Amino acid sequence: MFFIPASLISALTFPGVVIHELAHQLFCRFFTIPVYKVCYFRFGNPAGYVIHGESASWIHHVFVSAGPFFVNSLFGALLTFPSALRVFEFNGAATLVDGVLMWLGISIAMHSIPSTGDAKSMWAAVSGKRAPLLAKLCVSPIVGLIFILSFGSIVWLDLFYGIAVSLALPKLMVAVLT
Amino acid sequence: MKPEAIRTFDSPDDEEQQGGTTTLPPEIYHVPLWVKGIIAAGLILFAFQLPGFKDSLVDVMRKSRALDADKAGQYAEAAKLYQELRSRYPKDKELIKKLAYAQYHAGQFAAALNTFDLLVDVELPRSEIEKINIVISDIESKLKGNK
Repeated sequence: MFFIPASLISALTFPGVVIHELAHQLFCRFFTIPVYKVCYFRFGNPAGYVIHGESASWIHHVFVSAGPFFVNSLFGALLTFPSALRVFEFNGAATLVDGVLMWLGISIAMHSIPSTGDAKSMWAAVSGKRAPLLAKLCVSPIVGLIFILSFGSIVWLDLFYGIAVSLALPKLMVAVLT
Repeated sequence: MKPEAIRTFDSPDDEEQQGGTTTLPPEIYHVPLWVKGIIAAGLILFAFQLPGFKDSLVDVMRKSRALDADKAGQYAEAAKLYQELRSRYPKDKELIKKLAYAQYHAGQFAAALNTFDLLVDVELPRSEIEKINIVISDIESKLKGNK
């Protein structure tokens, strides 16, 4: 297993960072939470961020934090859909356009998993007296899972997730139609 | 944390600053051009590649049927399907190998030898090369036996 600095991975997969922040922003918009500042990409840690106002409900905050999971996964799956089969099933069949589309789609899907910063923000939204016990019970496994998945990026779990997302729909179609 | 910036996307001043003429949601006209460019580029490439998806899907289904036929011992059928795929994906060495083995098991020895010949310059694991050499020797002895 080889180690590549997170900042370099972020730079190589910057479209994913951009869509990740855009997803936070869109969910803020959806729940009418004011957005103060958006950094779509920068060379640093974190590679991007969204500064927004308080949400009316802890559920809104959870969805804003988890937004990239839905948006990045769906957009990544959409972009890779036409090329994934050609790239993964037949050696030497991929064109340059396929390659670019796969890089774009997998980069985006790779950044689906909310960051530890998102998890902390999610936890902050339900901690103390801000939310009932039920909220804490619902959110704590999600937060735990995010931390585990974040740790998994050391063993390229995010990349495997990106590839799995790109292959899921085409493979499902093959399974249904065969 | 309370941010220093107080400008929000929902602020009425915002629309004034933009001239108040746009009908786009603030999230769209505030998004930098380069971000829109990435999304647009992705969607254009998607639209460009989408027409080819049907062919890829049909080919993967054909490959799946070929693998099933191979497993079921229907080697002639598998060889036929692999052959169709090989004409469309001539650079796929794995496909060539599977075709050669299917032809060998189907008793199409001359065709199998010709197909194995296509793998001459291909880098393969030693174990695979040894396996192919055994198969080729077997084919040659069978062809000699037939003469």
